[in-house]
Parts: sequence; structure tokens; C-alpha cells
Amino acid sequence: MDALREHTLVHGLRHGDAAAFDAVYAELRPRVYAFLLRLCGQPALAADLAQETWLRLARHALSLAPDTRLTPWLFTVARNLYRSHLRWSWLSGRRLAELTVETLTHADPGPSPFEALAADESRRRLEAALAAVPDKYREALVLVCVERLSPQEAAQVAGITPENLRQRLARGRALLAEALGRTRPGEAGE
Amino acid sequence: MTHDPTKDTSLDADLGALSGHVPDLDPATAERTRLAARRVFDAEVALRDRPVARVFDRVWVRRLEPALLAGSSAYYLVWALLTVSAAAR
Repeated sequence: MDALREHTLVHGLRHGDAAAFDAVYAELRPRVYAFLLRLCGQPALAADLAQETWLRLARHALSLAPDTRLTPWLFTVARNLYRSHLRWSWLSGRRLAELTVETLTHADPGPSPFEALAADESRRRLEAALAAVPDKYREALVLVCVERLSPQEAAQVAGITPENLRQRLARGRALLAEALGRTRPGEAGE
Repeated sequence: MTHDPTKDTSLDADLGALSGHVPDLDPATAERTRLAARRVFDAEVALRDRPVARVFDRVWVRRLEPALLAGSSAYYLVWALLTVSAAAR
């Protein structure tokens, strides 16, 4: 979403323009859902959290700052809702990732959530490897490498410093490369 | 930007390609979500234009009423526990 269009949409939201709300929803709904799906690995949960994310936007649209960046704003809300869900859930994020990988590698040939997500074999492998990366590193990889947020925006969404984000990215790339059996130009740890 | 020795450009390219291959919500769920959010959005817009109703919503509906309900639930729970424990004795 380019800056001018984003500014126009934020202006519309702040002034109660329903068409602006629908436009934001149409444009960013798939990205919010995909982000949540990659965080939690469960389509039903991702759909619930996505709905709550859009309700939050509806409640706060009139009080958005004029310079609000919509994508990071929505990702921040979505991420916080997911974190909040984890706190109340008996399943840890690690266990969710393990379940996802088990589903991918041991389940019957029926369509799994990520088989729908990744049509071909290499994408399927990459999605499975990504799902196996621990939460905080996966979050950094998805925000920067998949969703193309700037490191500053991604750090803001994750609630960490840019330096911390850089470390998580490096560690996440190393873990992902290891899971995929690729050689790495260097190793980094957090 | 300085060179990042830990950056794996081919890996990043593969991850970037994932952004074009994501499932969306199914159409029925997407529409339900849109309608639910729009109802809230429209209600917020309507409240903005009615200051008295907005204050009522913020003070009573969102704060006092839930607090009172929670308080009365706690009261009846304690009352029920005391009654049961008295009956047990």
C-alpha cells in the first residue's frame, strides 16, 4: 500500500468513512490472516484472531493518529492478540509449531492447512520448516522476509529494539537454513 | 546499508515468494468478519455524533455495568459457598 493511498484511507477512517473501512479490509484482510496463520498454524484460530483484529480497528478507527501506518498497526494488534491467546492457552507456541510439523509430516494425505497454503513441494517444505522455527524467530522472519515490513516497523510490531530484531532475524535464518539442510554463510546467536 | 554476513539472500527470496501464496479466509467467513467489524465501526461513528450517548457508552456500558455484574456474581458466589458450608455443618 503506497503512502498516499494509506494516508487517504487513514483520513477516511478517522472521519468515519465506511467505504474507507471496506477498502482497508479488502486490501489488508489476506495479509492479516496469513500473518496470523503463520504465527499460530491453525486456520480456525487465525480466523478468530483476524476477526478480533478487525473489530479492534473498527473500535479505534476514529481515534487513529493522522500518520498511522495501517499495516504495522494491524500486525501489532494481531500479534498482541496471538500473544494474549498463548498466555491463556495450555498449548505453548513451541507445541503449536510441533503440531504443525507433525501434521505436515505424519498426517494422512488429506489436505492439511499448509498444503492449502503451499501448493508445490518446495513451498510446502519451506512452510513446514518455517513453522518449526521457534515463535520469536518465526515472527521476525514473517514480518521482514514474508510481509516485507521494514526492520523498524517489524521491531515496533514485535515490541523490541531494531538491534534485537536483527539478532532474531539472523538466528531465525540460521535455524531455517538448518531445517532446510542448506549451508549458511555464517552463524549468529541471540 | 552495511553488509549483513548472516543474511541468506536466496532464503530471503524464497520467503518473500511465500507472500504471494497464502490462503485467504473463506468468502463466507470473510464477509461475516467484515459485517461484524462494520457494525462496530458504524456504531462508533453514530456515537461520535451523539455526545451524551457516547459518555453513557464509555462510562456505563463499558465500565460500570461490567464491574457491577462481576461484583454481584462474586457476591452470589460467596453467598452460595457460605450457605453450602453452613448446611454441611
